[in-house]
Amino acid sequence: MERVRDAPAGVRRHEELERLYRDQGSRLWRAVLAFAGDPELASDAVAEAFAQALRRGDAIRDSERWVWRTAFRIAAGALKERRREVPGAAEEGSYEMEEPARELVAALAKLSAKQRAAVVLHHAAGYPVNDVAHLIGSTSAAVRVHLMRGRRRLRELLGDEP
Amino acid sequence: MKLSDRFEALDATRSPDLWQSIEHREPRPSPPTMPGGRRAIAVAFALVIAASGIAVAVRAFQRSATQTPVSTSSNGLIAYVETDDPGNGPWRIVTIEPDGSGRQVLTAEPGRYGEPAWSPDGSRLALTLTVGTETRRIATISSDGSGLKELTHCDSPECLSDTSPVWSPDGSEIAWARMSGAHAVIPESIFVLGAARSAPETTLVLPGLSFVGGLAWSPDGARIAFDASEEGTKRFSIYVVDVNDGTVGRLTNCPISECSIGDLHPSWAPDGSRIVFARDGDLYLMNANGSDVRRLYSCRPSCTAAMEPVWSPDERKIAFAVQTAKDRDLYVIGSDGSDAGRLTDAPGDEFSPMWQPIPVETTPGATPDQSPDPTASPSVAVPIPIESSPGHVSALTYGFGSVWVASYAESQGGRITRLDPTSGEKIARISTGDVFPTWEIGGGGLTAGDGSLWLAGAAAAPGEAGGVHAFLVRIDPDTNAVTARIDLGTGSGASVVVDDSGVWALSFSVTDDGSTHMLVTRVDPSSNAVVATIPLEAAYGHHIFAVQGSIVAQTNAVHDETVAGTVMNIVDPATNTIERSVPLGSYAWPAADETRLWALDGGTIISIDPATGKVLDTWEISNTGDAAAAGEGGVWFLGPSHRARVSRFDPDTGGIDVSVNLDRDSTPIAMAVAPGSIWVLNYEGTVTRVSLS
Repeated sequence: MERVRDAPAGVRRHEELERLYRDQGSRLWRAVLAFAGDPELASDAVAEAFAQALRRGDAIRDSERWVWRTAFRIAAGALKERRREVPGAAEEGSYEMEEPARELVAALAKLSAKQRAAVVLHHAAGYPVNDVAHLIGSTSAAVRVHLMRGRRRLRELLGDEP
Repeated sequence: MKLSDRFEALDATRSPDLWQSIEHREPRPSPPTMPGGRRAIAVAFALVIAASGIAVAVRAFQRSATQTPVSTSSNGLIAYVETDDPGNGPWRIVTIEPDGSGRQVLTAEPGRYGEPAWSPDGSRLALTLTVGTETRRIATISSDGSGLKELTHCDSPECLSDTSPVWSPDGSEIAWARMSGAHAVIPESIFVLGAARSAPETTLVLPGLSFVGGLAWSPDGARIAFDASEEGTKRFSIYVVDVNDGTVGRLTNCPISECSIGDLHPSWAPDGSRIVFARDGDLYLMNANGSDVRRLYSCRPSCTAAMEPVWSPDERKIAFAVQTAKDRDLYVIGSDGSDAGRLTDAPGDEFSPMWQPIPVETTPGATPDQSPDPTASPSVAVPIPIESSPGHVSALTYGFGSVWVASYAESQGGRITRLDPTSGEKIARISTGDVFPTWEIGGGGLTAGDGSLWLAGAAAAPGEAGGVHAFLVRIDPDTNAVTARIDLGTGSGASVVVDDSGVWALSFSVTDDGSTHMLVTRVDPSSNAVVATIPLEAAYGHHIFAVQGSIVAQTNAVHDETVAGTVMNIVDPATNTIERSVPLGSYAWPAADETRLWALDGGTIISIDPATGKVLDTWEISNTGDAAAAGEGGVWFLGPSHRARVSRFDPDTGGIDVSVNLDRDSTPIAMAVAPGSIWVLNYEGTVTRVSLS
């Protein structure tokens, strides 16, 4: 901690971001994976978000929020570029995932973009409803609706218990 | 298994360690623009998400025998039947991408599901269903396999089998063929019924024909092509029946010297000019009147037969099944018979392919070329800016010959913009001072009644540091001046409505212990005084309606931060109490016209008696999307699906008769109905006019 505070600004921000990555990188990667359904895309979005944050240095006040939003926005942009309105199911083989999680990612791909974003940000990333609303440009009430419908659809698709 | 278990499993997924690559990564030369401010970032993200799923188009669905059809759809998924044991095993409905990837099973075993047929909007499938020893009947399911609904009852000996379902081009009707028993009152026939109804409306009797199947509705809606054999023969021909007068015509008559089985399974080209069909194991093409019959494709002798051809929605390809000595697989060729390619290669049989139509994209404001009546074609105007900051528009309504939009600017407080519904011109900008309009869902915080415009909002509580109260603001439309500011107590306003019994507001109320619940407040418009308050148990709600003397407040339960089932709370104005609460069972978007309440629950639309809460009618349609408003010939809603689209449900036909795609860069959140136009409020701070004439 002392080392971080006493270091020059650039070094300090670098170490702060590395600590942020060590603390949240896995959770962010999994959330983007759940949103996009593609591990390669998730890795690229997360790496690009952190690389952008490193370049911007102290211009970013809240690194955590900035990186989360940027990673999701990069992923959404990549999906758009692929002209894939709804991403495909998780691809086999390139990473290890338990079957229930793999089925979940495949089912998430069948939700609308806003439902998927709301479900992932709330349930996979752990954001409160109000923060999810800010992230996806909606209201907390609308996010509650997206969550309700998204979860209902997931249960239908997966045959899960209520 | 529970969803929470799956998220835990997801949480256990090991992620790659990217840090080393991050440190050495050169950020892209054109980094994403990050506008300043938290809200702007959110909007940018929202727009990216929205743009990934929003089309821009104008399209009216109309059934007319005089319609000149053109291809209006692109290619979606291919649905087909899959089975490991064609004779005795279950039949599954499966979908794949046009390149053969992405196999998804839609139906659950046991059961034999067959002959899938997509609805014109690609949202549902009609199919045949046989379970156990029951006779085959017709059912529908959603494109994801949910929402199975049986449409027909086929009981022997009167009915042997219901087969070959097909949708009308406007999606309002389904036709199918019935194989009748030996002593049936109605002989071999084609039945037609409204897609949301339970009793056939039309019966097209086909005297002298048997084994009717392969139904294909012409793109102009006037005729149904089918295959059948003359009684006493086993050789099939293609026929057409006029849907309006039942006249039957024969299109093919392959000589017995050339055909042993004959002609089967016609499929109309999307432009209606040609028909592809199977003749004795090869694929043939002919003009729609039966002329110019020519062979299109043959896979023999390497196969036993090519069968069940279906045209792709974009008219460029034809999918079909190929029987070999081993099994049946799906293939696709160009519509000129070239470039045959295999789609499936599973060990069992795959057959009965049907291509999902996806509506085409055009430019905003464009009029569809295929419209038979230009005066009935909606047009979309360029969005009118109301606020420069996204998320700052809250509600809109029509009244006193104007469209009114509630919004706020952080530096200037609340305000209402008055628009000319014809020109879209801004007539007035009215400040509501420190009362900010509050928006939940549906934009119901603004209403016209008793000679005034009323706004539900919130403002800092007088004399309470940090407190917030719900307020009503009253505006005189003659002077555009605020005439009253009515304090409704702690909380914030959600919706307001006016009828002869007074002004009724629905608000979020905060009690002394900090808990919240919905509150109905009655205001006397002659004195602007609160005359009654009716607390509701629910903590969440967003609409209140006045219909034929009944006041109905819509609420929802909230479980685990999620909105749950909708409840209609009917107020007794005589006693200022809740007369009855009617749960609808699931979350539904409410609306009201002059006589009925409406609730839109995903794939279901119901009408409700506002006095009793009794369900009057129910229709099953495609996904209805978000928010609703009634008037101008039906019930309007944002959707279907998650596209930026506004659609009209016509209760007379039970189908969607108008569907208008909005601007790609808009995120619609609420709407209002005005004479001859629909007005859509967009999250970006704009309002869009959809002219109906």
